[in-house]
Amino acid sequence: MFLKNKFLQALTLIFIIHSIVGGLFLPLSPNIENAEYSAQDSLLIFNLYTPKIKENSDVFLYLNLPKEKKIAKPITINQTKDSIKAVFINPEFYKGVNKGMSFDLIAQNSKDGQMFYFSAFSADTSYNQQTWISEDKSILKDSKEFKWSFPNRNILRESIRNLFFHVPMWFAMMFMLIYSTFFSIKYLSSGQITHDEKAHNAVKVGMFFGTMGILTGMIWAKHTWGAYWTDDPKLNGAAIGMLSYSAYLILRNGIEDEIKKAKIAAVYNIFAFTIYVIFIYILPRINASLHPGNGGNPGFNVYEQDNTMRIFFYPAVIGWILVSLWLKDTLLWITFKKKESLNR
Amino acid sequence: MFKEIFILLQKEFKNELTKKTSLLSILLYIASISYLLFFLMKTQGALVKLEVKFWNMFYWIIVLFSIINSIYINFSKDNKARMLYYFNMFRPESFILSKLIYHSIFSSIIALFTYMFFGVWLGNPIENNAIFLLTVLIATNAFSAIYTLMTAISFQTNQSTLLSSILGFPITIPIIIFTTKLCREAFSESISSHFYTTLLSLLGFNFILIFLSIILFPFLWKE
Repeated sequence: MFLKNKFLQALTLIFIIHSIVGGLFLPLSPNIENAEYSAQDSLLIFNLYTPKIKENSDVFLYLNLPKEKKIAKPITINQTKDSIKAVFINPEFYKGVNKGMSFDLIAQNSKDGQMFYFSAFSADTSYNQQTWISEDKSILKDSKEFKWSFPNRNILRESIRNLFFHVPMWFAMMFMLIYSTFFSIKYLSSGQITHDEKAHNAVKVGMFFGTMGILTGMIWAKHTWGAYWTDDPKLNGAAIGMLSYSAYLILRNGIEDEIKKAKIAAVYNIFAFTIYVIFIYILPRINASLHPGNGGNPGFNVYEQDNTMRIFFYPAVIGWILVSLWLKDTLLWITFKKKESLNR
Repeated sequence: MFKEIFILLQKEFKNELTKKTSLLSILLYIASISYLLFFLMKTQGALVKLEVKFWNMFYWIIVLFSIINSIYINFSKDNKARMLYYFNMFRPESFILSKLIYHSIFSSIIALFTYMFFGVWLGNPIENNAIFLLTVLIATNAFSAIYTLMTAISFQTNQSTLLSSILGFPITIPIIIFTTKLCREAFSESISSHFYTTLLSLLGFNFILIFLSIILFPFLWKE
């Protein structure tokens, strides 16, 4: 399908190049680079370091409590060229305990739009109700003005660009594994050897994208969580998938007879895939995960709502899936050529 | 179908009871490993009481590997002529079901004996024995379901001993994760709210494994 269709090839290349170039070279938007706070009696003083913000003149600042949908305004704001000093009334609960509720700091001005500093400070369970007003959607709304820059989040920073590589790799892998299982089922019902060839090559390509997904994910994990590997349901799921598909490839090597090999490999493929899917869907419901998209991380929804990210994220997903199909077709072509030369 | 399963099971048990080799050899294997651990625990001449986490670790490793071995031994007893006889006489579903039932009984016997031997030589640090034994029964059932199909697959290839464990390990990891969670409940005095959901998901996993084995085994049968 891919090897003769020039249009699909061009489309794939355009999507991939678009996402790589845009994803790597667009700048990050200005944001609060660093926030330090100190508590004095009834006041909570924030020192915000904001070097790249163009205009500090009309800044609004809020402390946001996302769990309860409450915000607090500061009493005074002092601005210098590259920093803002904001004073909030110290909520009564604050006793320097770093657990429980975490508050986000949101700054806003007309040029740069909305800027976040997630988990600017965290505190114990109860808080002073009077100083906090309910969240007002009209205040918190971002200006709809479109910008050619990616959101700049604390902790993530430049590594946000990994979204265009890490996530599409897993999409492509999952696509290939579903494809392969589909053809394994088809092989068992029809007995045509071409279905088995498709399933086998799809697994190979899926393994390639899985390894890429793990490598990009490890780099990202080192920068955000501080370690290459943690005990996390998503990571365990990925590892199990990789191990079981390596076992699939070893199993194929162990059998000489082609039809026997196809049949047994198809049986194992269906078995492994079913367990893998169930495992991915059950386990994250039981334990909390650090990984975005499983709760616990407030950041992830925000990037998906960002329009600039979307322009590069969706093409990247489609593009890498198309690349996986292309690779699979190439491998299939190679196996057919090998067979032809053997038959001669 | 139930009649067929019954006949096959009867044959398995008769075979076992007349020869008694595989059960006794596996029990001897467990007993000697437990006794080995008893000696390994001696540091600087004095016996040290094993911590719960190490106890648990050793327990599951020994149980898992002896189950893999026992299933392998059971499959290797069926030679080609006998398989041909089964192939002509029985349906594949009843054959795999009888194997599953037999192996789950066999492996729960293995697990209970390991528990007993550990209790004798390494002490019993478990707070809630009922929960632990329940976990053991469900988990060994899952192990036997996985390794029955995987050994059946690996017997089609040339390198069967290693392959059955390679194929089975990735699928065993989810079950190990669930069982360690359940064991944590057994080691503490109170039961947390997660206990029932974990137990139910392990049971669900078990049913899926058995269901998949029954669906997929007929394709292996003709070889």
